[in-house]
Amino acid sequence: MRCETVLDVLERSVDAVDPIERRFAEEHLMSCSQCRAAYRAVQVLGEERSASLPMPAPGAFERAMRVATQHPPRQRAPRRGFWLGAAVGGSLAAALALAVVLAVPTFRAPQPSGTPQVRMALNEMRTLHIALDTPEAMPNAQIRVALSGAIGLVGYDGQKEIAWRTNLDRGANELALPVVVLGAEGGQLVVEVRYGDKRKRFLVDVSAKTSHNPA
Amino acid sequence: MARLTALEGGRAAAARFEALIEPHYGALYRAAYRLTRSVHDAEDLVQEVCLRAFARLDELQAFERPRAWLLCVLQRLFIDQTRRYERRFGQSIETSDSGAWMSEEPGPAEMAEQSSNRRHLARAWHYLDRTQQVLLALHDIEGYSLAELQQITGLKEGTLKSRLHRARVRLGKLLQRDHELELGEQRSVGVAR
Repeated sequence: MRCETVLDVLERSVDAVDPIERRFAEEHLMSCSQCRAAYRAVQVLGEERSASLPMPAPGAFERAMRVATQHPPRQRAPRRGFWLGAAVGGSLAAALALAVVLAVPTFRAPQPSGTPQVRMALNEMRTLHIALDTPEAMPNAQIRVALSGAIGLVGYDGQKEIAWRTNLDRGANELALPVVVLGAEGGQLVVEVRYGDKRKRFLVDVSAKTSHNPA
Repeated sequence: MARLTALEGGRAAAARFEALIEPHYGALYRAAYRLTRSVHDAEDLVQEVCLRAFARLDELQAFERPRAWLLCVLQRLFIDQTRRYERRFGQSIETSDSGAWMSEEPGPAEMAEQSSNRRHLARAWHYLDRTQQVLLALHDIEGYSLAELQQITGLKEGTLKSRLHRARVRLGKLLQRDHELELGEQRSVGVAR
C-alpha cells in the first residue's frame, strides 16, 4: 500500500472501506514511521478544525467592499490602526488596538502569523508593556489577566488570574506586567478588556530559553 | 447626464460585486484566518482579495464556482505577502486576539488553558513552508476536497497527494519534536531541582 493512500483509507468511515483494505492500512501504519507522523498531524489538525474560530470584527465585510469598490485596483488599502499611535477609526469593536513592547527588545521575532512569542531565560523577570490604544475614553473598563503554564506575575505569587477596573483614556494606555518564567515549558498570557457588555482578548506566548533552543 | 450614468454604473457594479462576494466572505475569512492565525491579518488578506476581485468583476461573474478562484487568489497572496509580513514585525508586535467583542463565557482562565496539542501545533506551524500551510489549512482543517484543492492550487492530483503527504509527515515530526523537547525540558528541570 502506498503511503499517500493510507490516511485516505483510515479517514473513511468503517462502512465505506473494505475491511481487508483497512487492515492493510492499519498494518502499514504500525510499520511506517512516516505515516504515523502524518496520522498524528491529521489528528491534531482535526482538533484545530473543531476549535472555535474568532469572528471578524463587525463591519469587516462592509469595509472590504468599500475599499474594493472605491479604491483603484492594486492600491494597498490603508491598514486599520492596530499599530501603537496609528490613527484609529471605525467602530469601537474594530478599533481597540493592542501592542506588546518589551522593555529590552531581545525577543525572538514573531512569525508572520500566529500568537506572538516572547522568549525569556528561566527565572528571568521582565516587564512586558502592553499598550492599549483606544479611540475613545472607556471609563470603568475591566482588565483581567490570566496565566497558564509555568509563568507568573511578580508580586502575585501563585495567582493565575487577576482582575481590576480602571479608566482607559482615549489614545494610548500602558499596562506594565512583570512576568517571570517559572518552568522550561513556559506558558501563555491572556489579557482581556471588558467595556460594558463587550470584551476583547489578546494572547502572548511566553517561552523559556533552553539549551535546545537558546535563540 | 453622462456623469450620472457613469455613477449609476459604478454603484451597480459595486452592488453586483457585493452580492457575488457575500456568500463566500465567511469561507474566505476562515481560510485566511487558518493561514495567518490572526484576525487582523485575515481581514486584511480577504480585503486584498476583494480588491483584486473587483478589478476582474466581469471575469469573476463568468465563473461557475467563484469561490475556487477567490481562494486561489487568497493563497497566492498569502504566499507572496509572507516576506512583507516578515518585514512588518519590528519593535512592537501585534497580539493575536479574539476578534470581535463577545459577551459570552468562557472567561480568560478557560481561554488560557489551551490543549497541549494546540500549543504544539501553534509552534510547529511556523516551521512549515507556506505551500504546506496552504495545503494543510485548506484540506485538513477547512475540509476542502482534493478536487477543490486542484482548482484552488492548480496542482495535479498526484502532485497534490504527494505534497499533502509530505506536509503531514513534516508537521507530524515537528509536533513530535516539540512534544519531546517539552518533556525533556520538564525532566531536566525536575532533576536540577
